Amino acid sequence: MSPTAAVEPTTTAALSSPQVPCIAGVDRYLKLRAAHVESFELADESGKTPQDLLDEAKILVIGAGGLGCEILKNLVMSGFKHIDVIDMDTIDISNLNRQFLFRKRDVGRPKAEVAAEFLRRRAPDVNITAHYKRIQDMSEEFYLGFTLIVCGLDSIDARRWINAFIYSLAEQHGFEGFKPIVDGGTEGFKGNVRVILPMQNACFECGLDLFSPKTTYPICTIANTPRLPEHCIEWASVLEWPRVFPDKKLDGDDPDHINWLVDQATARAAQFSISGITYSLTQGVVKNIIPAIASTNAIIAAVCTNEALKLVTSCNPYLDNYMFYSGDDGVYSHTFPYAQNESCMVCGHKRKSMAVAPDMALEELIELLKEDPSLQLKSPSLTVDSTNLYFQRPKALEERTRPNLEKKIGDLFASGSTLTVTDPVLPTSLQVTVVFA
Amino acid sequence: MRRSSSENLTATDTKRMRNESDKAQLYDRQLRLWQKTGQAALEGSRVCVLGSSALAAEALKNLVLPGIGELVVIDDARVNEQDIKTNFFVRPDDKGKPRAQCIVENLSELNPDVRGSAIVMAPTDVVTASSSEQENATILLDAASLVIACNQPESLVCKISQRCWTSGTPLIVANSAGFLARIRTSVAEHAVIESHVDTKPDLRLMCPFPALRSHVDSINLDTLDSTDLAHVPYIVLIIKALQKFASKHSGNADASGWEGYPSSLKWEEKSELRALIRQLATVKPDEENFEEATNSVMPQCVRYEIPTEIKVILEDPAASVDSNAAAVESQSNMQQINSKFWLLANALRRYVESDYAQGKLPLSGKIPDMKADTSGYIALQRIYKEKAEQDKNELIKHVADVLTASRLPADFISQEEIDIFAKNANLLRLVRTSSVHNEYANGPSDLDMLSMNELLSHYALFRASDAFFSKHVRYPGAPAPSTEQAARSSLTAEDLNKLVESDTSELVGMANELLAKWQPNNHENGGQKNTVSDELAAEFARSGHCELHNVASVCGGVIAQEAIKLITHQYVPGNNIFVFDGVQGRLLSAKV
Repeated sequence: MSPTAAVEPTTTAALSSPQVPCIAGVDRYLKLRAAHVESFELADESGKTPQDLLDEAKILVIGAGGLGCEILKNLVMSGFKHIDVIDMDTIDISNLNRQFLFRKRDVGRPKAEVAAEFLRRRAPDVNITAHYKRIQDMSEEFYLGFTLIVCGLDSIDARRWINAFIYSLAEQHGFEGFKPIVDGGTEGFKGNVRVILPMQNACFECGLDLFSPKTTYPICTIANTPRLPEHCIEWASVLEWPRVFPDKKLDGDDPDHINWLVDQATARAAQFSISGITYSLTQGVVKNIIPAIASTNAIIAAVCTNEALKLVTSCNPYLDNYMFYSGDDGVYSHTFPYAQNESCMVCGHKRKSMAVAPDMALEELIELLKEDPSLQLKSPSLTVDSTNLYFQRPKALEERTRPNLEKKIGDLFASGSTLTVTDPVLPTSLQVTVVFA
Repeated sequence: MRRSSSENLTATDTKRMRNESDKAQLYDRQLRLWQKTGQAALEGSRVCVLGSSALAAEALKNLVLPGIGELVVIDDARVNEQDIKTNFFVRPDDKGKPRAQCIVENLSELNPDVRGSAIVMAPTDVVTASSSEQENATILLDAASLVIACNQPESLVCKISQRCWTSGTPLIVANSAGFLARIRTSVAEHAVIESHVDTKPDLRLMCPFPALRSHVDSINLDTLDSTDLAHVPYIVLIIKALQKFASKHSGNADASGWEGYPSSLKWEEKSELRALIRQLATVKPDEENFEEATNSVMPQCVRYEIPTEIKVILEDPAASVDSNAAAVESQSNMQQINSKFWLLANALRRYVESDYAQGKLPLSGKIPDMKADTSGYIALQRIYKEKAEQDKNELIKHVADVLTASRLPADFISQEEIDIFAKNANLLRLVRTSSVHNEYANGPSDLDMLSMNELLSHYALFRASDAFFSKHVRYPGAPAPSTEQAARSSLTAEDLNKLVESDTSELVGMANELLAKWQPNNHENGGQKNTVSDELAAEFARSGHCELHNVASVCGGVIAQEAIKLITHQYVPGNNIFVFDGVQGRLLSAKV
């Protein structure tokens, strides 16, 4: 856009002169006394000032998307000097309505790199390192190097993974003062923030049932009794696409692929007198698109970085420990201490017991594990007493263990057996005890 | 995109289409929330902002990105060192330049479709037009779809509020003090048709309309095998059970069940109904559709009633008077939204009172997904849709009557507008806030609500800080702006510590005085005396009313969400004050 010429008054007297400020902004919170803040000291036992703590802190930002761009900007404007950012994604045109560090010319480039370049220009004295990587690709040493982690991810799976991974590191290195995680998430006009101090309060996994599992449609509905346009779209993408193009992966960003699905779904919908198939709906269902706007990201990201600033400098107490915001019907927000879940699979006693019938097939048990709201697994692999019951991958092992899927669990292991369950959403394994009812 | 007849299109058509599809992609994630109509409202809007600090820039960022039409920033401040540290949308080499211009330039980069301009003028001059430039600024203010005042003193906010209130322009006022911030929205009247509020679907189970009755009668559960029975939609199951309930209670087991069909159920009758539903399941009572039916008894088997929010609208005098055609036709598009709303509400009132509707709203026609086979579900969907269509056609007659009575053209309200209104008749919302200038003059209207929602101290201290500024021309904890530059930069931390301490006690005194004034019977009634928290006052003075980027950014987000709701007339704006307490990580709201 071209800003229209500014209207300047002819007299300069109306302009206030640029002022040289005294101690202002964040500096006031680092340098002034604050007897009313219990946590605050002008120097800690080792003689470090809040300014030193801020200067030396190394912050890892996970995600350079809608929340990530805001988080990065906020950290820089809060006075942090060492920031790393990791993101495996490249820029898409649909990001530009909120990811303000990117321009149209950047489409296709890695988000982490473009974001870092932009911020280096705006704040040349800040040390920003970009990693165009998956979180799972980085070493333990990499994660151990940070003072604090701020997560701005839309994927629940990635948030679960990093939470469990940091806990496993804390287990090895001692929980005392182990790096906090500040986690933010948004959907439409709503969002939430949590401050996770490993073993001191609830972890991400403790509150997993706050998230309803992703909407899924039963295969029998899709195949036999479709009622909604979504059912017809799922039929086209889950059943028809692999049948017609067995060797081609469906790409939700390829307009040709989506158009093919639109045609198939429209034909099926007509056959069942269902209406409402559109391009936008089809892409939304296929990519599981969650509405996202700049303003919600701004609120949630800034609450996150406000906590990061307080956690590092102790200039004010930190959020205890969960904040929820909703702006679609008035302005509603609630902050409360979410309780640690004793049976949490990450920070609790990590044991899960299930009572099931012995004549249940192994495949059904696996479905139960996926549906359980406290587990929400994606593709679990199971072993019992070092015997492989079923493995999702590698392919050879999957083929070898596949015959077990149809077997009754009573024929595979005894009542009271403890199964070791691994799943890509968790970096560590789970112990599930199965009792026959 | 596939265009089968692309050879017939002119070059302009192709370009326009490409632009449309570019926009659909660019705005995809927000169009899913407010659709094309909301987007068009945003693109047609002009937002006028007083102030250009981080708070203003952050709010504007969240409005430029989704594509508002135009923004105008009015401020005479020049970029200083502190701005470069706090305000992301000025650049390190902008020092000394007019800040309004800098933020407009940098924000403009975010979205080439947004027009932006800066007026380098003291915000206080806008309301005291004495030169032609100032007059221009006043005109801009009056023509705005929405005005936002960021960190402006109380005296100016009062004048702006009066101006906006008269012209019907929504106003958002925001102030921040370090970790603390206050946002106040004010709009005389704001009607929402597409509120998107989450309510239970209107299924009319306790008062089935004739087509629904005959559909239920056409299904004989006794002849169905177990597979078919497991695919009967729960709507049908519940109505069948209610018929059984009716015949059982009328003492005539053979009756159809339409005689004496209950219009509401007592608590224990609901349990009875659940048992009747389970009895319908002749084979396996644990099927999903039966479970859906028993679970829906509690929310769905209640007497039909028009929701309170809608009743209030229908009973409002504005829904009973005919409009003045000349006045309505001369209104701006924004103003016409409320006028059209009242014309439609008038028609809706007449509809509800008519023999046809018998006290019920038009049906939305939407039914939720439920366990069913395709034909059973589609048949039901069609029945609800057809009834909704009939209701709408009936409503259209009343709209025509209202337009005639108001001497407005028959097409003043389009068929599409009536359609959307009818579909949302169950979800209408009306927001009327108090005005900021009245609040400032008379104090908060509801002190108890402030106290109950834990923001009385915050509120009193913000107001006391304003009073402190009026008295000293500086905020608590901040050195006077008139202090010589050299003297300012040589102020040590110890000097400021002393200033903060002495200002804290003065601020506490001023805040408690305000509380006593707002609640004169505080002492006499022996009731608990409200006083502000000393710690919170210390935090106010500690801030020196400096901006922190994070807090500015939280507020910028809230301001933009409210602005978007006010501009699009979709979703429900908050009413009317929100305080972000960054010390505790809480966002509090109340009504003043």
